[in-house]
Amino acid sequence: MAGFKYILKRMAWSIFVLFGLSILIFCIARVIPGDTATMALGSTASEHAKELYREQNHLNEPLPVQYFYWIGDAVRGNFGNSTQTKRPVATDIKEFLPATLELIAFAAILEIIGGIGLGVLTARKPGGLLDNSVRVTSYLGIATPSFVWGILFMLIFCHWTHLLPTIGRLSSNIVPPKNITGLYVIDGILTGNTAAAWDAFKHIIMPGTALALTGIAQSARMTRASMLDNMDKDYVSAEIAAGIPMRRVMWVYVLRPSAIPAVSMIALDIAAMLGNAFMVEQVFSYPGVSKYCLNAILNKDLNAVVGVVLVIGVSFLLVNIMVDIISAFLDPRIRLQGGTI
Amino acid sequence: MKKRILMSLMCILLSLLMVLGSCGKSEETEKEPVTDTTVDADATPETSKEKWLYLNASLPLNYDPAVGASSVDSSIMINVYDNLVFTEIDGTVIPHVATEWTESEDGLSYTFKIRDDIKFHNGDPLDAYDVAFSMNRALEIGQGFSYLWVNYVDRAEATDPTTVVFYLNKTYGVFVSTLTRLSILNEELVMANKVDGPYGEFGDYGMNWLSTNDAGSGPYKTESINIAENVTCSKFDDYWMEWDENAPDGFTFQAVNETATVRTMLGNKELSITDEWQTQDSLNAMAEIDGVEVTNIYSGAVATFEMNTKKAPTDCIHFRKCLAYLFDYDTAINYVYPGTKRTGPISASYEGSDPDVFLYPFDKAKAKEELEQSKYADNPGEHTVEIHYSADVPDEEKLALLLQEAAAELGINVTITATPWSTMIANAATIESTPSISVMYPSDSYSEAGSVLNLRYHSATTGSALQFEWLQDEAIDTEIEAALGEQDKDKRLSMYKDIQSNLVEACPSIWVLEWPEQRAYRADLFTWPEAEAEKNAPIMGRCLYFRTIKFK
Repeated sequence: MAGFKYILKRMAWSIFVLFGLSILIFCIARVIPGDTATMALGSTASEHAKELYREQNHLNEPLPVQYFYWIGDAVRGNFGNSTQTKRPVATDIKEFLPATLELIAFAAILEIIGGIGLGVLTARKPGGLLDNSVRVTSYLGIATPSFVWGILFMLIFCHWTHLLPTIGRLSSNIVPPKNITGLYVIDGILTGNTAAAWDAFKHIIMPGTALALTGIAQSARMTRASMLDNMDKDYVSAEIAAGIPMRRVMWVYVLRPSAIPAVSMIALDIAAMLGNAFMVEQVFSYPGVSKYCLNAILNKDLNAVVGVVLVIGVSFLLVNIMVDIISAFLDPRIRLQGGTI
Repeated sequence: MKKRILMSLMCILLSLLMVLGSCGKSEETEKEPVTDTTVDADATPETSKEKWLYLNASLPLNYDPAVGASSVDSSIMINVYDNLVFTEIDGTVIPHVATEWTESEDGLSYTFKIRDDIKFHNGDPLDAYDVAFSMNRALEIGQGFSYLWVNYVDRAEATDPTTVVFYLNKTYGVFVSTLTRLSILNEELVMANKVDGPYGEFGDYGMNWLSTNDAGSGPYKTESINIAENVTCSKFDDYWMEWDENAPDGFTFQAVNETATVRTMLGNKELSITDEWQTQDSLNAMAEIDGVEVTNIYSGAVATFEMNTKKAPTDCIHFRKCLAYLFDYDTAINYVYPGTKRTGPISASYEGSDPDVFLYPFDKAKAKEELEQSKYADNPGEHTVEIHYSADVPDEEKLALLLQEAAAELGINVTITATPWSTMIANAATIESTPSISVMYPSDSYSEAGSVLNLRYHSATTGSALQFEWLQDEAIDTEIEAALGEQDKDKRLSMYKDIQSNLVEACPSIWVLEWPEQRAYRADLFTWPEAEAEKNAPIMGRCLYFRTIKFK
């Protein structure tokens, strides 16, 4: 019951945070210099056209009135029209968000398996060949930005070996699968369109891996350090003395408490990818929401910026709550003390 | 306890899945518009891809021809829509949908006879009512290229299926040339797809529908649009003009901007023609690829340092002239943009460009003389000269550095800032926010010098990114208006030359060089007449007319 209350409390706080975020981004969007109508319609638009735009978008009203118009529409999922795509921002987000989620899901799987797996393996024999190799490559992974990996992969797998497609989400000769989740790989499998699923998967490999490498390196280092800390504890010596196989001790009894910092980091990293994936999406011309947001910022497409920032904000809050729940699941002290540890 | 936590976790996962589901859900419940057209977002062109052109561009596009006005928008329009008149490669205006036209004696009405054998992509015949509708729609919407007509054209009326009359408020000598920008839409199809909007009985004038569909009759028809990803068009077999058997079967614009990606794709033949914004370094690297050549298409753009004439220190004419004399034009031409040429205010590609106009030379002694006459002579470093250039065009920085270096010798403090394009637009809004110098590459829409003069130096365009100079010179305004209204072409061209001389004297800008569209393309796969032409039409997007390209 305490855990349930705890989650409800977190959700209630999240609504306040979102409300604050909405005011903040609305104000920032409105105080940016430049006439919104000119930005939206172009320098050559007639005064009549600009005035019509201002009226339609309540731009002649005082700022607080504008906010109430905007928030009223926003809670109904209407963020206004994008000045770039000339269609509702909500439609744009519906189109671009699944692409980024699919990319992030792939990167997340790599991060969880690769990061935590490598962390455990290297902790088994600290100072060994595997540990030292992973340590060196981890530094490389942490220090190298994801877009550099992207360009390197492109050189190897597109330019030299032609093994993987260069850009986009799907090849032009492939019919997209019927929309169910918006994730092409999943939709392709669910609808039996395996050609689309396979093609979409091939398109994700390079950007997804580039996006995941830094996270893998960080979580591997973090898991290793945490594992080594816990391995010195008395309960581990007791388990080993009791004859429990080392593999079981490592993967079950030591990993569980050791995974908490890595899980928190991976989860927040995944949420951050929604906003941070733009460089990789740019390199691979991957039509995701992150690249969309970048273009919106560069072109002062304020409705789009506000819409995407809110979506990213909601994602962060959801992920934060999930992290708390997972941590509570992994560590009983957290759920027993209402998340104070 | 664990079960509760697991339940909560599952609840959140379920909500996430529901969000995902709604993201992916198609808009099945929405009203189906009348789509008597070939466009289908999920369709894959069935045409063979052997003779297919792939281009990279900055997407999304403004696909509605009454809204779009960028270089890419213009390229699409010229291939998907027809116009009353057409501009040849060299800039000559010839009849196209119109067969002939007459002008009233007072110059206030133009009557066009049009062909009766043209079909839209959906099979409907094109008639004069469609032409009148297209003009009236553009005037009402007031975006895109409508600035060419808003102040001059009152309305258009069709008197019968092959006759359309344009009524003007005042004389407009260049009117026929401007019609190269009037894309003719299928009225019936557009109005069948209108939804509620601000234009009374016309609803939204079909703007929403036209943002992802075409209603044209041009040589290519839209196959698919993924708004931020790609646009694919295929050959319109029923096009009224002849097709060469080796003409491209279609083309695809793809949203690719990253230099390394562009280079890889061109090398892999996944790209046929690059955009015009590749850096010199990248162009040099691509030119090394077997079969790749780089164009030098002069399409009217002039690399210009636009000086704010209303803000210190560039508000002083002598200070501006000092800066004009301080620019090392030869280095810019020989090293920054090798193979280019100098020009005055108007590119040599335009009719009415003055080849004899005075060009400020790189002359430090003259610069010093001008500075001494300037009101900032006592302390030239007091006011910093801020140069802003578009962050998307890194080569512009090299031009700015040339001026910075020379100015330092005279004690003039110059700062250089890379600025996002949207910020440059915002900066142009007021005199105070407009920097001392903004680096631009302006070009325009029809092949006479008046096109550029009106857009660049008339007071009507101050406060927008079309003019960072804030010239606001009544005499120049009057001269421009008089020239555009002049119906005698020879007189008009002569008047343009006078305006250019006056502009050079006022020195609101430093006209650095004539900037060519440098695009890398696969010359081993096809011949591209515009790339090989000695002279190109100074019209944005014109060089990407695909019907006349021939695959080898």
